[in-house]
This record gives sequence, structure tokens and C-alpha cells, in this order.
Amino acid sequence: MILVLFGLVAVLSHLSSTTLEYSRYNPEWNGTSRLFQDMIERDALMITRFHELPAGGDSLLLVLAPGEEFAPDEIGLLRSFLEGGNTIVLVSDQERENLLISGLGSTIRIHHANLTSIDRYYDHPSSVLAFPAGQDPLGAGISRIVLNNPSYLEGGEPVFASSILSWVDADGDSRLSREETLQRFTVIAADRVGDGVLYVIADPSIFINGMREIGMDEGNYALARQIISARPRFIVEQGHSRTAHAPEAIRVVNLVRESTITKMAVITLIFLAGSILVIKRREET
Amino acid sequence: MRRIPALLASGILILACLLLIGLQAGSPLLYSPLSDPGGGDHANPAAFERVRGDRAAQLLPLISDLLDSPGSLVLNIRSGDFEYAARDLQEYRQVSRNLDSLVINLDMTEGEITEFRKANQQNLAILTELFNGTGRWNELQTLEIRYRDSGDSQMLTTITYEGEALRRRIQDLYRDYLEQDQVMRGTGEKFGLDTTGYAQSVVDFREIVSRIDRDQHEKMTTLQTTVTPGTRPYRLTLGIERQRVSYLDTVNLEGLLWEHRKDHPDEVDLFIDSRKVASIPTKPDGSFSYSHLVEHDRAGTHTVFAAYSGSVFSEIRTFFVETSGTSLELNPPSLHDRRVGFEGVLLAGSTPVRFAPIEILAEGKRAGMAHTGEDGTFSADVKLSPGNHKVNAFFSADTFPLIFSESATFEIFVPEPSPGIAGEDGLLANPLYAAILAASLCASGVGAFLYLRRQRPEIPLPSPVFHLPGENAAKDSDDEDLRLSDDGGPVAGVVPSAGETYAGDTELVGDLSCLFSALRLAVGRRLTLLYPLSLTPRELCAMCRELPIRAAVCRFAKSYERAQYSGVSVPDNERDMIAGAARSAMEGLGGIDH
Repeated sequence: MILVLFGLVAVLSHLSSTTLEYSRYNPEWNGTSRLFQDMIERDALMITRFHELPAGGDSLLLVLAPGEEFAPDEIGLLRSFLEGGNTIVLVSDQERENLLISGLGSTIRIHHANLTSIDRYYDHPSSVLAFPAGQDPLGAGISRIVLNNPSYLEGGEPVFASSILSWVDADGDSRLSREETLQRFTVIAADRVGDGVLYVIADPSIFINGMREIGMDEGNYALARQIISARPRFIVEQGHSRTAHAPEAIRVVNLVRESTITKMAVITLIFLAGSILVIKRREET
Repeated sequence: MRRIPALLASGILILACLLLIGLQAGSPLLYSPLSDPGGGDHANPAAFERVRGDRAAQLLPLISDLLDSPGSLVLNIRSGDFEYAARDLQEYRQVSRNLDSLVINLDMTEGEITEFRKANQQNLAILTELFNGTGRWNELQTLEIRYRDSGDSQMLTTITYEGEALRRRIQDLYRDYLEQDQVMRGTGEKFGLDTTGYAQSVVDFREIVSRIDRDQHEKMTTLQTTVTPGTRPYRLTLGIERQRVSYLDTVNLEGLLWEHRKDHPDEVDLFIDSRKVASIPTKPDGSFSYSHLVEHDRAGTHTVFAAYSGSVFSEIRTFFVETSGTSLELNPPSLHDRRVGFEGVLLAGSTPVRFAPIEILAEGKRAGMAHTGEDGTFSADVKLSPGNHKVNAFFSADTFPLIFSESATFEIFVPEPSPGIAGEDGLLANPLYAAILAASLCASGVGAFLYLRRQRPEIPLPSPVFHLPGENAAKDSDDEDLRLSDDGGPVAGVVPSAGETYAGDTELVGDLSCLFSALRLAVGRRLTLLYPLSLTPRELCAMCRELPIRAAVCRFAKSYERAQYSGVSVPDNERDMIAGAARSAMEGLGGIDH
């Protein structure tokens, strides 16, 4: 019986996690489970449709690593939300999101590129360091952040930028070639749209679990904390985001895990089944 | 019966486990961040080491220092303070070396920083030569005063010629220095560094050139006015066949010493860039020739003149060494004993470049050195750390009139040495180890078999002989052995007939025990039980649940227990029933003499 219970626990724990990139159910280095743990502790509102966006101008919506395009009506809803005095933080390194950004009325553009720098945290060209580039409150008190295979931005007001010793490694040889020039690249930019502010972060990988392990004193954790607590209400988009990606079985298991009532119901059922089994065996003997 | 499948399953599982362990034994690491370095979205931070020290923070101050250093150095040269200039040059050289190391550490062997580094290296060479040249120029000034005072017109002419060669060389150096200006100042301005010191060095350099030009012009004018025709007993001419040459070309110099004594062979000294390169004997007609191979001459203009006996000078001639491109071909590297073998060839056009240094780079950092032979080929054996490496070869043309070149890059994997099994990827990769594994498995199997045999009871299983009532129970000695117990009591294996009489209940009870023992032994043999003697009557009954004799055995067991433990005498009909049940069971087990 004990063995069966152990087996059950092992199967459930296996079923409740995935290895999908950016998934909130992925506790490995490439998942975002830790970030979502913080968000849940902060009572973040998870929404799958933009109709659920609350009225009022005191919210921050985080759109982390979108996996698909946004429909025109969704862009319209987001623009209304933004112009209403709210904040949107879009975290993506894909040029596909330029459609959304321009639809929101911003001049920021994402350039999907292999940004590399001599100023790096790990001995790897993708581990680029970025430094505050303006007076934006998002970068207040943060000396630097560590990026992981970032793209770069044009337009808007730079909030964080790489050092002058950075370049786009066009030929992918991880080295500065003749045609590649050194310059600063913006990796986080802000743009005011109506009464709201749009932030674009050109590297969703800064929030994966592996980057959190760098240390609590590093800027990535502080940046996540700033975003979570920047406005009174914190909303997380879960309709398009790759953080919501997971097989259906995992969704069900996690639904049970995250709800106290369902958790209690399942535990009761397990004990009931166990009791029936024990009683039946006793009757047989 | 049931034990055989269980043993088989256990055996298969053990073999599977041993096989899995064997497959992993060569490289026992099951997971490492290095085996999961990440994909297109991001890299696994755990797979990489943290950068030690803030290397990047050193770069900009170094560039700043390199922009400032020439200013102080050239200023000291201009003011004639050679002691301070020597110190400046030493510091400049050190800072340049620091930049070279840093650029290699940062894997920036190309691009803007490298352009800056090369320009700086050029500047270092230029300023070193300027320092030496101006030093010699000052010496010539002192010598001129001395020779002028002593009236030694021949030596005066010699040093004036040397001065002229120096002047031309310093002019060339200035031109070269200006060529680096754009890269040096451009880089500095891009990084927001102060370039005024460097700009001042250009101004001071120009000042030095102008002053030397002015002084030399005066000397030449003086020389032409003081040396009158006819005062020199000889005349010396010099000609160059080709004015523009390149790597491994030959500069043919020919000249004629007029009015030499035919009975006395003369010797003419030849100077290239103010350095004496040869003393050439004249032919009977006074002509002489010399072939200079262009190999380690820098690119640019070179001055040549000849002197006879330190008093007769030829006119100053020049030739120009052009820069040639090179190609560095590297064959795919080979791996042997964790050492990587590199072979290749360095050519300037179709001409092999001989005795040239070749750097072997791994990830842009120097991993080894080689030198080309006469035919331009080179080879090197370099020890590299385990892992993937991007390797290539690099020719730095510092002392050649050649452009540097780099070979194609190859990727090579140096395997991790397995502890104790060097060079093996897995245990089964080597037939010897596979054989050892097979032998150990066989030995384990044999050991297990022997162990199981030892665990079986040593009691030789008797072939029980059961006799029906009326038969002679003990005809031979074997039967006797079976019938007699150790204490001479009743025997096992005899089933009394229903009509036989017994002395009393005690005797009957003893017979029943023997009967039970015989039946238990027979059932144990049938079911191949390891310990049949430990079975109780009820267990015996339970063990027979799959056998057709179950009813008879259980009937016997029930009656036996009652007779054995009730404490009352057993009636005849009961005794007959027990004996009948035992007989029936025995017959069911295969009949008499089973």
C-alpha cells in the first residue's frame, strides 16, 4: 500500500511538470515556475482574454514570451487599456511582435539579432550585461541585468542598454568580425502611449529559472520585483504567452494542485479508496 | 514449480541491470548541465563559468593609455630628452602588450578593436624607429662638429650621407604614422575617450621631421659647396635594376668605381637604410654588383648608397618594397593521443613563405606555435583540453613585407579521458572489457547455482515404498532403513491395512506420525518443496489445494489432528478412515512405489 502511494506521488509529480521552454509548469532551468510562484504570491491576476482586463488606470499587464500573433481586436483592446493610463510590459525577442507594438501606437521596434558583448556575466557570448540607460523608474536601483541571447530595440526611450563593447554577431562566430561594429544596443525601452507606458524587453530569457539562480543580489530578480510591484494591480497574460504552454494532463494536475478545494477532494477520494481496499482484504482473510 | 519463473525473471532483471551499468560504466555521468547547454531561445547558465574579473572594464582605460602614450613619447623625442623618451617607450611597449593579451583573452582577434591594436602596433614600431633614428641623428650632429673641427672632410661626407638616409627614413615613418591616425583617433572618439594627446603627437612628429629636413638641407648644401670637383681621387656610381620589388624578389645593385688601381683589388661598402650590408670586391674594370634578397625588409622605401674607403660616396638610390598578400592553408587537424596535429602551407601568391612563424589558435587564443620550412609548409602537435574546439592558424607578418593571413577554422572534439580506461567511450567499446564483463556474469551465474544447491536440504530424498495391507513390509535392507527411524521406532512409509491390529493408542499415535511424515515427504517431492519437513498438517492440506488429492490429504490432516491432539482413544472406524485417506492420497500421488 505504501509502495502504491509512493508510486502515485511520483507519477503525480512527474505529471505536474513539463520541460517546455518558458512554461510556468517547468521547474527546470528553462522554465518560469519560480517567477510565477512570486507572481501568485503577489496575487497576480491571470487572464487568457483581453476582455477580462479591468477598467481603471492602475494596472500593469505583463505579456511574457508571446507564442503567437495578436488579433486586431485584441490589439485594439490592449491599446484602450494602455491609453487608459495602464502599463504594458511586453517581453519578447521576436520581430513578429512589432505588429502589436505598432498597433499600440509605439515607435519601438524589435530587431531579432544575435546580440553579443564583451561585457558578459558568463563566459559565453550570449550572456550579455546591460546597464541602466536613463532615469526610468523601472531601472531605479538596479546596477545591471544579465541577458541571455537577447535581441535589441530601436525607438522609444532606452531604459537598459548594453555597453559600447557590444555588437551584433551576424556571422555567428561569437567573435567581433571586420564587418561588425561596436556600439550600444537598447534592450529595454519605454514609450508613452496616451496616458499609459509601454515597456518592451528584448529578451524573455531573463526571467527563466536558470537566470534566477544567478543570485538574489543581481538585477534580474530586482527587475522582476519592480515589474510585479510597479502598479497596484498586476495582471499576467496567459492566452498567448508561452509560459502557459503545457500538455492537458499537466494543466489538470496543476489545476488540482492550485485549488485548495479540489486538493481536499482528491485527498478524501484517495483515503476513501484506500479504506475500501483495506476493508475488502480483511473480509477475504 | 513456481520458483522457476520467479528465478528466471530475477535473472533477466539482474542481467538487464548489469547491462545498463556496463553501458554507463565507461562514462558514468548521467546528467550534466554541459550536456544540456540550451537551444535557440537561450543558453543554460549552469553550463557556463562566470567570467573571472572585469576584463571588459580594463579595455577602455587601456585604449585611453595607448592614445596618450605617443603624445608624451614624441614630445620627449622632440625636446631631445632621450632618457625620458626611453622610459616612455618602455611604458608604451608594456601597455601595448597588455592590450595584446586582453584582445586575445576577449577573443577579439578581428574587428574594430583589432584594427586599433594593429594600428597601435604599427605606431609602436614607428615610434621605436623614430626614437632610434633621432638618437642616431643627434649622434651625427655631434660627429659633424667633431669632424668639422678636425677638418676630416671624408668622414664629414659619410655622416652627411647617413644623415640623408635617416632623413628619408624619418619622413617615411611620419607618413606611416599619419596612416594610423584615422583608426587611432576614430576608435578613441567612438569610445568617448580624450584624443588630444594623440593629436599633439602628430603635430610634434611633424615638427621633428621639419627640423631634420631643415638641418639636413643645410648640411647637403654645405657639402656641395665645400667639396669641389677634382678634390676626390675616385668617383663612385650606383644603379638599381628594379625600383619596385616584393617578397623574395632580388634587388640587383650595380656600380662602378672609377680610377681605381688595376693591380689593387678594391672593396666597396654597401649601405641599405644606413646599415652596412656588405663589402663588395671590385672587378678588374672597377665594377661591382650585389644582389639583395627582399625577405625581412619592411614594406616601403629603402635607401641605398655605396662608399669606398669611407671617403668616396655614391649617390643615394632608393627602392620600394611592395606588400604582398598571403594565403594560409590548413589541412583538417588530426587527433592522436589527445594531441591535435596541424599541417599546412603558407604562400605569398605562389611563392612559399619560408621560416615564418605560424600561430595555432584555439578559440582565438594561442595554443601553439610552428615555423614554416623552406617549402612554406609547417606542422605542429598541440595538446588541447577535452571538449569541442574551434581551431585555426594565423600568420602575423610583423617582420615580413607581407599581409597577415588566417586559415579556415576547423572544429575538433578532444575526448575526455575515461578514468582507468583511457580513450574508451564505454565499457563495451573494448572487446577485452566486454569479455571481462561476460566472464564475470558467467562466474556470477555459476556462483548463484552453487549457492542455491547448497541451500537445498541435504536429506537424501527417499523413494518411499508403500505397502498395502498383507504385503511384506520389509523384504530388503533398503526397506529396512526406511522403516526404522533413528531411535528404532516406527517407520515411515508403511501404510497399515485397515484390518491390522494395534497394541494400543500410543502405538497408533506413533504410526499416525509416521504416516503423516511419509505423506508429507511424498507431497514435498511432488511439489519440489525446499523444506517439506516444516509443514504442519493444515499447511500440507493448503499446499495440496491445486492437486487432485486435496480432499484425501485434507481428510487425513483433519483426522490426524483430532487423533493426535484430542487426547482420547481413536475408534477403529476412525483409524480405518485415516488409513484409507492416506492410501488414497498416496495412490493419487502416483500409486504404490511412487
